[in-house]
Amino acid sequence: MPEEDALNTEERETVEAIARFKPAAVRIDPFRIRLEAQRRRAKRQVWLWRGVAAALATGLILSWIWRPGSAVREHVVYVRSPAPAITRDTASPTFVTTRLEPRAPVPVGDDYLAVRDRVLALGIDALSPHGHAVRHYNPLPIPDASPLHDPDALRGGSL
Amino acid sequence: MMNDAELERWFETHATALVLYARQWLDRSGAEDAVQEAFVRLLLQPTPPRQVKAWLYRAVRNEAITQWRSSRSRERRERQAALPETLFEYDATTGGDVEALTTAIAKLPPAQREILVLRVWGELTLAEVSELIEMPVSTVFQNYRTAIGTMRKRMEEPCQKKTH
Repeated sequence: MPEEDALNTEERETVEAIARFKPAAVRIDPFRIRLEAQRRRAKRQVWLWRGVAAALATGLILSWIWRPGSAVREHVVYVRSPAPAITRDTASPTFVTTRLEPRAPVPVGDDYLAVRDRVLALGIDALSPHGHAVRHYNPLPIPDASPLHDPDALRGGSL
Repeated sequence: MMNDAELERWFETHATALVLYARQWLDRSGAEDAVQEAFVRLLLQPTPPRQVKAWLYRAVRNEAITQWRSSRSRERRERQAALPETLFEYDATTGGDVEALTTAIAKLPPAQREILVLRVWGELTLAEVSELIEMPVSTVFQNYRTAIGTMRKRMEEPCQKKTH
């Protein structure tokens, strides 16, 4: 104790006398201290991860609250006007009649080529047992090919 | 981080003096808790402090004062006042009166008692004591001298009574 030089002899003797007394022994030991330190280190890590989780959760909640998309957006929307009411005139189909060229006469005969030509011209009915019934088939010529707008007229016609 | 050997060395050297220092504010178990807390904090330091001894005394002081201010500790202190415990070990070689010394120290004013314990048993320099308790060195020295004088008188009293 170099600073004891500033003390007088009596004071120095007193200090030496009381310094001989040793403080009472303690009931703690380094093992308990190390154990407690390890426990706190582990606890700190748990709190660290809890903090990270809490920060992530907070960020997620805030991003959900302040998410973009609530602003007003302008869009150009095209809407079809309602279809016009259907009347009898507009609902009537339009018939167009065209002139058919007169077909060549259906060949007559029982040979293969004649039967084939008849089937091509008249369909499968040409092979009926009484195939000779359609022997003289010939489409009727249409006198006029101008368009007709009145279906009733067509229905009542020769077609 | 401090290794186990260093911890044991610091503990063996200073633990008892640190508990004695903390006993100014706390009872024995409270003082031991404060010292243990200081050592645990020392172990948890990423890098050991440059002046470990001064650091330990400061940590014990802060912890002891914090505990002392808490109501629970105050109740414990009041209970402890009725059951005085000796602060020192009896040693037949010294032949001193342990109880008289304990009583004499307990009767010192708090500032003088703290300075005396830090200087005599803590072996801190006056400059370190001054820094720790935030008091000028000259004031620390005056308090130290006064405490020594008071202790001398009180330690002589039982002897004089016994001689009569």
